[in-house]
Amino acid sequence: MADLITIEDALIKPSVKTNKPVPEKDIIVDVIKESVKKRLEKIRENLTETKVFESTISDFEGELESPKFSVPSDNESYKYFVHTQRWIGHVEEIKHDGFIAKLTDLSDNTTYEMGEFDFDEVSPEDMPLLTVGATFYWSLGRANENGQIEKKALMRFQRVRPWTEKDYDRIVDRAEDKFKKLKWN
Amino acid sequence: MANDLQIYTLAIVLIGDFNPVIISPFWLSGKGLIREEEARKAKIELIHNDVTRYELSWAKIEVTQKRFEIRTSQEPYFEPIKDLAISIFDILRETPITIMGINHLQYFAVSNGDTYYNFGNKFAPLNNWKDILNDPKMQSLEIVEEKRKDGLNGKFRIRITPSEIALSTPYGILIHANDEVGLQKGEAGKDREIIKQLANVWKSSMERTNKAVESIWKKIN
Repeated sequence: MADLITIEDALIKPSVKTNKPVPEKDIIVDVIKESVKKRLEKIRENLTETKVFESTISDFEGELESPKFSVPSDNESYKYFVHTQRWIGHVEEIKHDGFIAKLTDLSDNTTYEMGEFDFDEVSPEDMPLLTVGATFYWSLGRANENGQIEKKALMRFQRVRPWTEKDYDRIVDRAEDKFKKLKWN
Repeated sequence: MANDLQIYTLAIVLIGDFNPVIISPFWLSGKGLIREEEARKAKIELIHNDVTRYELSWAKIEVTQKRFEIRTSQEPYFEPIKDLAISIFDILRETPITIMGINHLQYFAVSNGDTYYNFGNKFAPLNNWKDILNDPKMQSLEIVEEKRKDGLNGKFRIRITPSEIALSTPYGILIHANDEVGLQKGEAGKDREIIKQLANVWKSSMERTNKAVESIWKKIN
């Protein structure tokens, strides 16, 4: 008797013949695996071969150099922001409709200036970060989005890992350690 | 203007032992490192044990088991990508990292063919090649500082090539500065040594690159 072959088998595994229909769930798993496999292969083509860990810098020169995103995507090609003047700001005072901040130029930190900002300049998701002492970045520059050049100001509050109790303990320990080493004349 | 900077891409590359599947957009927003909206709108290409790759509106992230990379072409986000890289590995503090590279890719649109030709001719005098090649042109130049000025273990490298990205003129030049730092003697890479170096050298890397590029253009103009 000739082997039976299902349509699904023919599509997914043309070289395999079976007399049992493949359960639907297995077909789905195969399709998903195939898709991931193909995508991985595609990405791996863009990556240089990964090398053995614990090597010298020279072994990784190729890895560390140009970004491995190969050719920029169409989207990226049209999303640039250059010629900026950038400041790092520290919130000094919060008022009823805005806040005052100390601004330090990131390209020249020898001086600072004070700036006043309205709350509506802050992105809604950054509002919870707006507290006295909070850090934010403020930039003025030339944005190119889809070929359209615009002069833009951009404010973004700094997001860093929140401090844990362990961090405080570690810092207290280090401070105590340094204090013990202090020699009073 | 002869040297119009049109694109400045900054990429931070870390070499180590990573778990790509962890560093997803939702994990980042769950830790408060990016906005929830940014995680929701992330363009995810792949999240897998071997490779994680996606794009936020302001950065691209790619993680393999041996390599982490974050990059942006939007200057206002240069500091945020540094904060993000540092914060990720402040949280994943046990991650062994042995080397980092800060890549500065500056793309210039040169206004005319003469300046473009002179760029190559100045740094690799093409008269030296005229008896060997017909109409020689410089395609790539790489100069390396084998021992870093700051005494850290690593290299500083500058590479000049034609731009692979189309710019506003046909004469695009890419100046790529690659600032690498590895572990110092006696370090094992398991105590965030490289992440601390990233924070320490960040400012000097920006300054040094800008000075280097400025100096290169002075020699041409």
